[in-house]
Amino acid sequence: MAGGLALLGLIAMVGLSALGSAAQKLSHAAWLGETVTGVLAGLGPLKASFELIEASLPMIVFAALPLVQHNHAHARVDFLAERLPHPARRVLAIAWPALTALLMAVIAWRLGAGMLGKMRSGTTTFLLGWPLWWFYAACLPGAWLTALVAAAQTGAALARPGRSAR
Amino acid sequence: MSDLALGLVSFPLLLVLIALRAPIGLAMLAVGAGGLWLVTGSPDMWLAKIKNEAFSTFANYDLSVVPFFLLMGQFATQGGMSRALFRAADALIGHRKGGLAMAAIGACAGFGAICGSSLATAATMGRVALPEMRAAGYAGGLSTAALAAGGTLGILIPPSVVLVIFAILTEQNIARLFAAAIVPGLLAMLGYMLVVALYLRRHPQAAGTRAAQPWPARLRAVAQIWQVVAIFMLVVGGIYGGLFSPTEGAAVGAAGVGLMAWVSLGAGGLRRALLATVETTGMIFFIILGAAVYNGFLGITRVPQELADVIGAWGLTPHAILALILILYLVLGCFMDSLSMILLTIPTFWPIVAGLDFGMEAEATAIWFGILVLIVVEVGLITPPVGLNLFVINAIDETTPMSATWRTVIWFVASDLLRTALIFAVPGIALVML
Amino acid sequence: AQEVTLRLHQFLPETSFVPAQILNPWIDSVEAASGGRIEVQHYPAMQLGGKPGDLVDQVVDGVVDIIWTLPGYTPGRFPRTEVFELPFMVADAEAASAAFWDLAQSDMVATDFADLHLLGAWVHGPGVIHASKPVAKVEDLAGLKLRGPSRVTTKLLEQLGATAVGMPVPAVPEALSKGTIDGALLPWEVSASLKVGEIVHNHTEFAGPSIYTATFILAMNRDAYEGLPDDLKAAIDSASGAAFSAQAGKLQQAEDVPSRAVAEKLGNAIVTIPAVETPVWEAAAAPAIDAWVAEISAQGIDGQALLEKARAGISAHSR
Ligand code: NA
Ligand code: NA
Repeated sequence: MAGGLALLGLIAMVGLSALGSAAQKLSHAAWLGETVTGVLAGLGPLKASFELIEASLPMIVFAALPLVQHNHAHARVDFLAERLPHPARRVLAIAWPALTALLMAVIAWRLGAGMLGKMRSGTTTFLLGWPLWWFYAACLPGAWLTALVAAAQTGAALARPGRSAR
Repeated sequence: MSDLALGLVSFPLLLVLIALRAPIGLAMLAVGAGGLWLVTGSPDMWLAKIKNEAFSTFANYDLSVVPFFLLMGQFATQGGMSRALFRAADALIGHRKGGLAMAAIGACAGFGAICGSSLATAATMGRVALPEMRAAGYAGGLSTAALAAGGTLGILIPPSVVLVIFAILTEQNIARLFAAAIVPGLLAMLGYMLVVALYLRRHPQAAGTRAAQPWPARLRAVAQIWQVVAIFMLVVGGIYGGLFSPTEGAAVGAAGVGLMAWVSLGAGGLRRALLATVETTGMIFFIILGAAVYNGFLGITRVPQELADVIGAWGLTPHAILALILILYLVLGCFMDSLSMILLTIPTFWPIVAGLDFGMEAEATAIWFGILVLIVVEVGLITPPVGLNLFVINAIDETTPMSATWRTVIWFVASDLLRTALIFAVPGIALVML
Repeated sequence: AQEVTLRLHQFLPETSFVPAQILNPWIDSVEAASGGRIEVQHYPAMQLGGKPGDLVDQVVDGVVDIIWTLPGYTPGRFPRTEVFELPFMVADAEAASAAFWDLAQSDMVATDFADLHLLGAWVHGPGVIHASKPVAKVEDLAGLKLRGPSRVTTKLLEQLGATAVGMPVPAVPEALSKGTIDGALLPWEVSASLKVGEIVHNHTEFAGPSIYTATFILAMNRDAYEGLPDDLKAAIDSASGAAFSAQAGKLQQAEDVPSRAVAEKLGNAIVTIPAVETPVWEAAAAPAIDAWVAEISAQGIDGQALLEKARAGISAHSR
């Protein structure tokens, strides 16, 4: 849900920025009359909206991943696996969440390392000069939570000998 | 094994993992990371790379278009715009032979004009149109096939998430690609409608008819879609006319549809729309991350360059090479979804195609190739055995067996293939709007 | 026989000017000087993954051995390099590049570049204002929305009364044609490859020091360099360093000439601000320079001394 709200915020920001710059373009239209064009020319795009979108999008994605993992919403191909014998299906039902848990844990760990690196080197965003590590840090909860969800799914698949997990 | 051999082996391995039901993004991630480990002899390189790549892959301004367009489609769905579209198309042509199926296809095209995703279009219009078609005596197979095919209009008609990704991968202009997709998209819609007519000449019993509505009712129904028309004009017109960048247009569109749908949306609808958008966004971006890792591995094995050299050495004509690539997409499309295919292959194929001389400017070649790829990967959504649109529609209409859908959808696939051949032979169809 | 393979990673296509005319010749001379014992594999256009801003971390972490990048892609990471991006410093890229290399050796190898082994450090040709309206005086900038190429230049534009907009270079042509921005600051060479002159028709250059320039570095992983035997280190050294950096700056400025001719041929208006008017511009820009000195001094760097050293170095290398 945090990702969704951040998305709404971004849309509001980009939308306002876009309307600002569109308004400014219209300010060149003489038929609107001088008063109107004068007001429109004062508007404009938010100068930093570009870098804010770039820096926040990773956070939105990582906030979304636990939901994707929890709802089994990953894109996948069902065609062959359904014809496999039951034991093989069971192995796969355990293997994929296990591999996801492992790789997401590694990614979360590395993102943390990336955050520390940005902290040490003092890298900032371009116009606002905000530390980049803030935006890395915002990705961490989602990344770790995805690994946890996948680990829990692995555990559930292991504990469920009879059925092949969905 | 040499680096090059590793790179070449990775592709069938990837397909095997995907066939074994691995999440597609996970399969690319694992093969890419594992391949890099084998090439460099240690996991260190990938570990060092991923600490920034897991962030910077997503920190891409152009990619923000994806969630914005998805949310716009969600708002339109939750806000009932899909129903208004179907009502309008139904009122106009629903009483003719096959008219209801054609109306469903037309409504899909209309919905495609404000929605960037095929699956969303198929799911939304399927829920609206399938019950009506059953009530009017349509055969199950025709209804499901028409809606599965109509769903692909969600991406064939701009805005289109697949075109956004293609534009990013090939560094082309999103607005110009959108413009180029309009005429081929309308051709697709007309082609599908023609298929319905032809199918009913062969199987006249597959559709019932119903009484025509009086003209005042028809006009009222058509007037109901002013919102959709307004949004399309604002978003696609604004992007094409230079008022907005694609990101801005998508944000304005999402906000606009959200506000229009506000009353019918309610807090529950808003929540559902956001959750669905976030989920699809996460699903798509996870594949994007996997593709970035896998393509980084391919880069180090130099497979793309070597492949281009090998293909160049065959001495085929540019058109023959392009035809081979398109056929490969059709085959892959039987098993994979469109975004995964594009993310997996365009980094390899685009440099090859860009190096070929088709007697037109570089940008025109890119746009023509993009539209052709868009069509062939979308065919994959309705080709058995793995066609995601077929699954979506069959999940909505559980009474129609999948085999019935398959038998009928072949007709629509044939129209896709004809359209591909037409645009292949006459690039001007894709370039006329530029 | 070849003993060492080094991977060079950078963000431009191999056919672009710097990869084709500066990096590939550098690779050739390293390979030749090593007697074929070193092979440098050139991976252009971010082929090994990541975004341009990731290059520095990639070379520091040993993901790749050599990178070419702009320090400006990682704002805050190389604060001292910004001194060469300050306004009205550079008229001659060759002299400024030689000075940049010297200052990097004296003041930056143990600080900004402590994690790297620096192979080359240079600047591009003088920055030019490309805009939809003519800019002949400082006042003409008021209200113009301009794409600023670096953090420092962005601050300068605001100081001069313009509105600075941030966006990546490839987005400039589209933004210009749609009027999202009124102009951009770019050297001639880049403006020609982006076809900026076909969209906006006014260009302002400076006879004296130009309004800005941007810095580039060619850098190697420290361990990869230090792990080489002495004769291979010497092979790399012979192709790199002061002479290479100055030459790279000179080549970049030379490439501006045909690109400027393109704008002339288009019939565009080119305003050349005479050197006698530079002080007016410098006075207008002075607060931006002071602000930079204050900002960098707050990080414990003697900004004023750095600025004076840079200026002295540039004038020493200028003929
Ligand atoms: Na669409
Ligand atoms: Na398929």
